[in-house]
Amino acid sequence: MDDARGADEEATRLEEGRDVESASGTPRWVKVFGLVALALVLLFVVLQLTGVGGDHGPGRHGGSGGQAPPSGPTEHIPPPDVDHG
Amino acid sequence: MTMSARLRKFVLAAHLTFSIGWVGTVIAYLALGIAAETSRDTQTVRGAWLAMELTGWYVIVPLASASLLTGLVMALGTRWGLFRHYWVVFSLVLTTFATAVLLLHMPTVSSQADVAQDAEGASLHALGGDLLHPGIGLVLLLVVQVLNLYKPRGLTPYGRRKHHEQRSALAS
Repeated sequence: MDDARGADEEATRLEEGRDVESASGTPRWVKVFGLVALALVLLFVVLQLTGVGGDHGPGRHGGSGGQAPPSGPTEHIPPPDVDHG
Repeated sequence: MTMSARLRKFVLAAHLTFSIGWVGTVIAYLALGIAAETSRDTQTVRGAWLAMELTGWYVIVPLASASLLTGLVMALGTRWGLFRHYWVVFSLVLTTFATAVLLLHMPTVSSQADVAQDAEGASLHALGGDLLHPGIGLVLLLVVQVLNLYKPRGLTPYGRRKHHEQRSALAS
């Protein structure tokens, strides 16, 4: 068990060591990931400003404007029919 | 503080179960959404919306919460840490975002399911199916899965600093 834990920790240390050696700065995949995420956020903002994406304001999910928010899933489940025949 | 090997394996098993279960139930939820979107049968559409609501609240929300929680435990309880590696940070951000959107979206699903139980004909079929949010959510979950499997290299500035501190402590 101690050998297994030691092996795991050693593997993690080796990974960290390779990370430090191989990455003098931000890795390229992180930059690509960040750019894609930024592009998607900008797309979402544009869609919202143009009204294409539908209402994502406070009222859409929270049921604001004086209405009680929708409750959980139990209200409209009908009771089972009991057959007394 | 790192976990023992036995505890780490238990938490890892739990995390994998919850995470893969989350992906699976989202796929099943999408199947219900497609049925609601495409079926012309009133009972099928109503049943699909009811099933989506029940599945969402009683299966997907608990699985998402448990996946996020066990992921946090795995990160904090091992040498990976929560902020040392970019793949962990991105996994955390994407999982937290997916869980937050799920929790904000489910009341809308409940509203739609309520409407579906009473609507008829054109107004019922105008509800469509709930495909966009779970579709995007599934893509996010698959991205997280790839990150967790491949663990692409890259220490954050914080991780690099902690690594150097530990190596200095070992050397002295």
